[in-house]
Amino acid sequence: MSEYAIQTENIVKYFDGRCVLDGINLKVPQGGIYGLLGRNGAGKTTIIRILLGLEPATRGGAIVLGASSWQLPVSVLGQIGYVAEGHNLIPNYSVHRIADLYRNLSAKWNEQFFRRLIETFRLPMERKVSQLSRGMKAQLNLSLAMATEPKLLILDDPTLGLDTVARRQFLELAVELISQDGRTILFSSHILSDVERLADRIGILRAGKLVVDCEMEELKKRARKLRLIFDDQPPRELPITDIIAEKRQGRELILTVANWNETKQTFLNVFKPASCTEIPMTLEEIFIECTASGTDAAVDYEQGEPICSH
Amino acid sequence: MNKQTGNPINIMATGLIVMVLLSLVLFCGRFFCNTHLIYNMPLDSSRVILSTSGLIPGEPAPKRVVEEEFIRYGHVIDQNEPNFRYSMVRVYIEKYNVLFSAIGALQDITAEMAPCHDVNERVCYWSYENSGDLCFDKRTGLIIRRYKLSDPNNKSLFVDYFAGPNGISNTATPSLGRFYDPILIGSYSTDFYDKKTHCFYAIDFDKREVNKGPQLLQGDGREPIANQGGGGLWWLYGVYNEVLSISWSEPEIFHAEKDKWEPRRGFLPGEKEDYGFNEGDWTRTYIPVLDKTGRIHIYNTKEQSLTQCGYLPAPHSLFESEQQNEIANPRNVLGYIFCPVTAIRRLPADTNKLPPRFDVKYLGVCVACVSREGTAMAVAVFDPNGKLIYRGDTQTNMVTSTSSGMVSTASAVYSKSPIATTTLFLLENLQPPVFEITSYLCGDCIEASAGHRALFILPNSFVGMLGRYNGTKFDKELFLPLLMGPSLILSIWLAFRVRKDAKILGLSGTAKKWWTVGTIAFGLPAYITYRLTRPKETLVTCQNCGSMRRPDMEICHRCGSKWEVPELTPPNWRICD
Amino acid sequence: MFTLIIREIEDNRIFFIAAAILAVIFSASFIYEQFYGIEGDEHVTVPAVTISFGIMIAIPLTVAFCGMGASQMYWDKTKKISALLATLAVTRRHIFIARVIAGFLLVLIGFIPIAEAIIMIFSKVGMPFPSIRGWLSFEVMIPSLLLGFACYCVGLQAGWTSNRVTPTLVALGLSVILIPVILIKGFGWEIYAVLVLLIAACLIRAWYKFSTAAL
Repeated sequence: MSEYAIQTENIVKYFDGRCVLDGINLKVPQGGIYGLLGRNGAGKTTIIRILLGLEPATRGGAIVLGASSWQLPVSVLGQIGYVAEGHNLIPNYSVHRIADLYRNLSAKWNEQFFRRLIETFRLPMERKVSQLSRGMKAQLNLSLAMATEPKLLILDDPTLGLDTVARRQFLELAVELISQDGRTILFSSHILSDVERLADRIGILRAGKLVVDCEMEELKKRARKLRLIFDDQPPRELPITDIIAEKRQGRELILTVANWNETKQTFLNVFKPASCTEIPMTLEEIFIECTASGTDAAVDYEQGEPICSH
Repeated sequence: MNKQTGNPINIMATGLIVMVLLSLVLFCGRFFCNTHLIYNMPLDSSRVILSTSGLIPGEPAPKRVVEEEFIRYGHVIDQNEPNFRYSMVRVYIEKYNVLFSAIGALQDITAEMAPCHDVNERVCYWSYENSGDLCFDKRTGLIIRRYKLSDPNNKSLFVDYFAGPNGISNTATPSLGRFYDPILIGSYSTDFYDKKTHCFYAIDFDKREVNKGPQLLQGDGREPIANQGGGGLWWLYGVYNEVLSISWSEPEIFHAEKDKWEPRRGFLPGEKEDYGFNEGDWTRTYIPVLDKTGRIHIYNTKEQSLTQCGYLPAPHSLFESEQQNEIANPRNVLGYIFCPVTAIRRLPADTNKLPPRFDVKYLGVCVACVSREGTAMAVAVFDPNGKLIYRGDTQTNMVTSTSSGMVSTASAVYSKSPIATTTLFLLENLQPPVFEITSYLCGDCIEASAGHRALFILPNSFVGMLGRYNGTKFDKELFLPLLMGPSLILSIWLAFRVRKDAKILGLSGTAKKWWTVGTIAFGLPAYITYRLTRPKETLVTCQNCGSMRRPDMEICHRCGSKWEVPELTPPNWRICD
Repeated sequence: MFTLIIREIEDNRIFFIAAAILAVIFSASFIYEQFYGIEGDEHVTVPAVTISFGIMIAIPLTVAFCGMGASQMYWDKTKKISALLATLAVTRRHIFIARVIAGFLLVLIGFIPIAEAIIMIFSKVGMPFPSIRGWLSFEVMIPSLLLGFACYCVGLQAGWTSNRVTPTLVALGLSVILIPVILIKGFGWEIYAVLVLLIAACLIRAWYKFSTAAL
């Protein structure tokens, strides 16, 4: 049995001549929670659909629970739970009918757990899906996915539309699920505080590439934001690699660097900054720094011209 | 997932779907063109009227009747003998039924209902309309005749008689023997030929007799074929699709005192008593049978003899419209019909209690055939010795800028409707070239009426007609490319387009070759199949060579360079394990 | 698989109900005319009204089969039904097979009542001497059944699109083109060959399209 629940190999995806994914090599280890992040249109949903065999990759492939994603056998499909973005349920079916469908077509079904979730969320069984609010659809979708007791749970923006209380309930459920041995969760979300609470590993998509793929703590260690104050103007060029972003204002230089290490510290000290303080970043701030596009270039406010884009 | 060449099975499946649907559309177009052509045939060009038939002793030789005369009087009047009408033969092409040959469902259903047929080995039922039903039970090998009777309460009763080679009984018993593959050789008669034992049988259910007739040797060319029996008139013999109708009128004399025309009796050479003249032979003494080569033989049930008495005259076709004496193969004519003529005299009865006896003389036979395409008919009359005494074809008056005169309908029907002919020609050229060549080479293999229902190989097309041409007027191999010209030009042009597109898409050399060859061979259906099955990826510009390339291929199929995606500018840094 | 088949039937129940109603009306009319026929003679009774009705409904019925095939694929694509089902413990093959089985059941429902009526009549008037055998025999029924199924399979080709108008027009056009094949080829081995090959080709192509499409 592979140590990875999900492995992709150089996935490339084009839509009508436009490249969305340009060689994604993603590895999601068994057990744990993997948070997949990216801006709108970065390709998160596309990757997930490719993993589930709903979308063919233009090039490359993926292995999910030991099977090729494009031809997942029934035994593997029965171990996967999926909550789609937008909560794609058949609109004219009632909640009861959808539940029957899942019950009959799933490899495993925990009726008790499902009932508990339905009662918790107070979902009306006889109402049609199209008549449910967005939040109720999300709750139903989550209930259905979790009741199948999946080994791999894939959540595409699962808390979209949920109120704060419901979101908290979901997070608790997710934690409860993950506490069972061998379960893996891959989820993407725009609510980074939730991701920060749950995820063990983080992946960030930008410009078709996976620019971040490491553990949460590792990410926080390696992505550093520094405020440097120089006696005079900050140097134009810094001999430091992996600069994510830099912002200059007068004698102040705010530098965001990836893969921070001693060597980089040494190089920085060469320029003898008057002070060098670290600005702690939350995951949200790291994400913003990592995904700011090339047009959001650093600007020298005094000179009024762009300095660099990374 | 390799999408470079597509799934071959999917391509073949798509090709089959396109072929079937396109063939149906083209068939409908051709059908409408043929309807126009057939219906535009003037009435005078779809019939032959002879007066006299030439079969009655003392009458002049057969002569074709002038239309105006016939139309005016409804009968031919001899100015020298105004109280006298000669025997007459009228043969018509039934235009509706020519077109109905294209409707297979109708053919099957009328075959089921028609007496005496052997269609695809499925049917073993014959039926009489009034006196009961007749059928062959393949399981027991017996011929069953069901009589319908009424009891005093008017309720229907059915009585079955079972006939085998050894006799007739009310019960089906093995002692009766069995027939194996009988075909009925006379309408409304119970005379059979067993194709397996090569023997004739005459069964008389009224007398409860089974008489074995002559036995032919295996391979004897005189073996009868089925397809006998027309609807309605029991003394006629023809193909069940009734594309022809024939009527023979006996000679008549006008009795002034009665003020009416009555049949004229006559004397035969060497006979002292006069005979009445009849169409067919209701005494069932002489039964004409047709063999597979188109020769007609008279089966004399009393003498148990089989003598050749005529043949099917080959009708004209578009490329062969000269007089010819060829014998038509029954499979190569859309319909045929023959009408024997007999002289019958009642013999004096020995006592009143015995059934009447008759003396029957065979006088000859009138035969007509319609060409495969349904556009021409040939008529022939044979004397009792089988000698041809008349041969004629349907003709029409054609006036062109350079000439005028009577022209065979086989060619005139196309000249008179140039738009329909051109449309038909173009529709036929939309068929795949490989099917056209097959039609040219093998058109004869398909039976004539089946040819009207053909979807893929068209034996009745212009190319098919050329393939059957055996004359010496021109070299048909040189003429073939002209007939196939539009089809070949279209196929080559489409193949060029397919190859160009395949090159752009980066299909492999093998795939390009197969598609090019396939499009040349199969023309429009192949092109449509290609368009439906070609890879649907949107092409992107290669950064290296500037040409369009497919994103699902690892390298550019033009310059071999790997991928660059300039519109995406990922950062130089990575935070990965 | 059973669940998937039931789901297809429930989602397309309007087609099943309509086909059943038409078939029952046709069969009842046929039986009535056989026993209280126009001619009054059981040997030559011609169910003229039934045959006329049969011809009238034959074309709409076959177009309806085509429409169901197109409708199944269209609603699947629009409502993303297979996208949902494919994430459960079912493969695309299961979904497709269930869909085709439901289509075949629809065609059977359209023909079984008629076939039963014919069997009933034959058992009453007795074989082997029916006068209008050509119209009533299984040699007519089975090609008709195959034609109905072929129209359904052709409809499967037309429906996989987001445009509502396209599958309707294409399905209508293709079924109208296909219906004359039974008139042209009759009821012999040729129609079996054409229809069986066409059905196989349509199913192969529909499967290929469905199995390679993005859901």
